[in-house]
Amino acid sequence: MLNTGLVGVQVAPDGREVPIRLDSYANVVIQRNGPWYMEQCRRGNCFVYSQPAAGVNQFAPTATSVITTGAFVTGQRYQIANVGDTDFTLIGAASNTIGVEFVATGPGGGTTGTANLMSSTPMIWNRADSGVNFIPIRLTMGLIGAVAPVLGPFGLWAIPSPGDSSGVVTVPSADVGTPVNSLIGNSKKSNVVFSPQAQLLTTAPTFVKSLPWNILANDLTGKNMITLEYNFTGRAIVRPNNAVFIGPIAADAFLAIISIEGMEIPIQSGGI
Amino acid sequence: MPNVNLVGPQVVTDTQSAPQRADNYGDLCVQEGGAKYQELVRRGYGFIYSQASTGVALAVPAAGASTNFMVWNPTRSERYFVPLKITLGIVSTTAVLGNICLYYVPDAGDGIATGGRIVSYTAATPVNTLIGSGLGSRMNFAAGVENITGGATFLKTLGWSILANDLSGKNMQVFETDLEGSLIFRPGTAFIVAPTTAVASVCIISCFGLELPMPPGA
Repeated sequence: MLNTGLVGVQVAPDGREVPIRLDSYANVVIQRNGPWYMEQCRRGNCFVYSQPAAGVNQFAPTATSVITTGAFVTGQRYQIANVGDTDFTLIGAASNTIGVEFVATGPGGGTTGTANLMSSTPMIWNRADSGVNFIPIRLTMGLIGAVAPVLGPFGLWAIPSPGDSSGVVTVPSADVGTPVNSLIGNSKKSNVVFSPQAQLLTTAPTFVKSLPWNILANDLTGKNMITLEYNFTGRAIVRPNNAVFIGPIAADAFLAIISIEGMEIPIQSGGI
Repeated sequence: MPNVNLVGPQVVTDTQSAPQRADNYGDLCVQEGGAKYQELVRRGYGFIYSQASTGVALAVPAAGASTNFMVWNPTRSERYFVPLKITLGIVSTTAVLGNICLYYVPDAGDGIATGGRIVSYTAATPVNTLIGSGLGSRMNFAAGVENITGGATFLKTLGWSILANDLSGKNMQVFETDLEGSLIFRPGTAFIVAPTTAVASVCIISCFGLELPMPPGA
């Protein structure tokens, strides 16, 4: 039996039963009764993943390599691998201890100290056992202070199938961030691993696409105001056992905050 | 037996009963019957929370008194506060480099109280967007000064950056975002729009949001 509706305008008080309304082409006339993401947000499935308010130096995501003193890049994040005769406290480290992370303030002295180059972009690692699909909603980037970037756009990067224990992606425990549930006041936890600014990667992430955030001057100070926002609206879904990164294509070194909003949707039976 | 619809174009007249239309993939064909938030606004759930047209010099929501934009959903509101469209207008041309962000207070409580997180605020009145209805808001809205013990917690950047100390002579810039329901504030929390550094520029922040009844048990 066919479903039918009534063509034309109806005006009915609350509590009255009415037929489905059709337009003059028999399309069902609908009226949205809530914004796009509200149902998922109200269910506790939306989260905010943000770099800290103080900002992070933005560099392209990179594979880890061992860098010898004298070659450290100012603004880049490292993890001390061998102290040797290098005083790392002179270039930003809190102490001369293996494993300590620091943001280099200079190339480094001595001759034998080494450090692991860290990838320092925001990363969301949807581990194989997360039980959720990660769906990015919106990216924003706020610039901090006088910035002197390298020309080039920002992009989305990924490491497919990094595994959970193979060591392709390592996030030191101190570098694991805490996403905020977007139903503010709700305590539901995130199921993905979020690293705001520091990872060790055995392989370089693969470039996926550019973002419409174009850096066209080496000195942005004194330039116009800018809005940097990108809405995914469901155009990408990150399945378990994948890691995604946001970062510039060029080796930039300027302070900014990147914030990500996304949904963690439980995977149904059948794995979809 | 499943309910079925009729595939293909139809042209029908008002007051006629007709089968619902499907496309060649069996999908129900629909047509928006009104503006995006029309039903919710008509029910009186939409409000505009705005700073005055004279603007406010925005500050970081640190501990103590600060000047910015806050919508406080009190514990007993029985409403979700859903911020949707946020805009920023710049009144003066002197600025400090920085960007505009969202902050929150997760344990804001119900009202001004000794030992509470929000010690004081300068109240302003939201406007129901069913203009003429006179319906009142259940939120506590501060368009100017508030005093938060311990300050507010950083949530995310809106991506609105100011890159010059003197904005005169610069191009126009649109500062607008539509959160589309990706943030909801439960009762007992507060929502704040503020910069990462004190922006000397005098600005007007406006927000369209919904105050929605909570389902039983939510």
